[in-house]
Amino acid sequence: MAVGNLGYSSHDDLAVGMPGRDGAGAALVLFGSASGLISDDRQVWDQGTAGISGRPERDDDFGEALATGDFDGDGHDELVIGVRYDRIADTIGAGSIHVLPGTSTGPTADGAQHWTPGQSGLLGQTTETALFGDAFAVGSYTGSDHLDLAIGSPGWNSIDTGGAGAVHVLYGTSNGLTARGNQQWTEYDVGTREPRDDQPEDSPRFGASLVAADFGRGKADDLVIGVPEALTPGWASGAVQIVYGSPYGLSPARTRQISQVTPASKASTTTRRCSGLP
Amino acid sequence: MFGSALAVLPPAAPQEYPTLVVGAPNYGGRNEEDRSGIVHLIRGSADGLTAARDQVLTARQHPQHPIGEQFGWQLTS
Repeated sequence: MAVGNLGYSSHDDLAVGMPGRDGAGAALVLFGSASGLISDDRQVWDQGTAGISGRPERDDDFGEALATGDFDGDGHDELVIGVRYDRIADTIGAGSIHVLPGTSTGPTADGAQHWTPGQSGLLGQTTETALFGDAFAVGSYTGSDHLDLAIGSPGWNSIDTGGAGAVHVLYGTSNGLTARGNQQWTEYDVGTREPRDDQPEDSPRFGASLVAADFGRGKADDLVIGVPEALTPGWASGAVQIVYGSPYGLSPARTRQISQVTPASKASTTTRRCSGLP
Repeated sequence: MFGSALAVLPPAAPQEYPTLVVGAPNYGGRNEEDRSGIVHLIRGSADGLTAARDQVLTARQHPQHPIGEQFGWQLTS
C-alpha cells in the first residue's frame, strides 16, 4: 500500500496493491475526503488499462509494490506501480515499473512512463527473475525540490559487475522522472564485493528493502539498502548499506555498511565508483 | 536476515535526526523455532547513521511468546 496526495483534494489518498487479481495483478486507488476514504471516482489500474504499456500475464505481480511521490514538483503525487515478475521480451521475471502522472483528478495514463533496465536510457540489462520493482524508496537525493525514486531489483545478477541484486535510481525534474544521470548500484559499487567475485549460489538480495530519509551528513536525503542475505561472520546474516545524498545525487564516495557484527564505535566506510556517475 | 524490513522514525525534535529501524526476524538461531527476531534502532547524527547508541527491541520485551516469533518481519512508521 502507499499513501499520497494523488488528486481531488488536499486529503491523503490510498493506493492498494492487488497482485493476485485475475492472476496478473492490479492496483486500486481510493481518494480521501473530509469524511475519510471514499469509493467515489476510485480507480483500478492494470496492464490491460488503456495507455498502460505491457500486457497482463499470469503471476506478473502488478501492484506488489507501490510508491507515491511528486517527482515533477507540480503539487500532485505520481503513482508508482511495481510489476516485479513482468516478462520483458523473452526474459521471465525481469520486472518493470509504471509511473502514472498525478493530476487534480488523480493518476492518469496520459504521459505514463514504463521503465525496465536497458530500455529508455535506464542503465543495466534485464535478467531472469531480477524482480525489478520489488521495492521503492522516494526521497530527494540531491536535496532539490524534486523527489527521486530508488527501485530495488534484488534478484538481478551479472557476472561482469558481481553481486546479486541491484538498485536503480531515477532523478526527478520538472518533466518528471528522467533517465538523465540515472544510476545502478550493486554490491560492487558500494565496495562490499570485488569484481568477478560472483558466486551463483550466493544471493544476498541487495535491494530487497529500501528506505530514504536525511540521516545526517548534509541536506539531501540518504538511501538505505537492505541486503538481508549478505554473509557476515558468526550466526548473523544480513546488512544495510547506506548511500548518502549530496547536491550531485547519491554519492559512491559516501557509503557505509552496518550489520549486526559492526562494532558500536565503527561502521565500515567505502569509496567505490557507481555506474552512471561521471 | 538483518535488513529484510526497514522503516524510519522521524526525529523527536527539530534539531535531531531520524532513526533507522532495521528488522532481523531470523535472529536467535539456525532452527526456525529459535528465531525470535530482533529490531535494531540506529540513530542518525551530524555524521550520518552510526552504530553507536544502537538500541534493540526483542519479542521478549513484549507479551508475545518469544519462540519462533520472527519479531521484526514487517515494519512501518
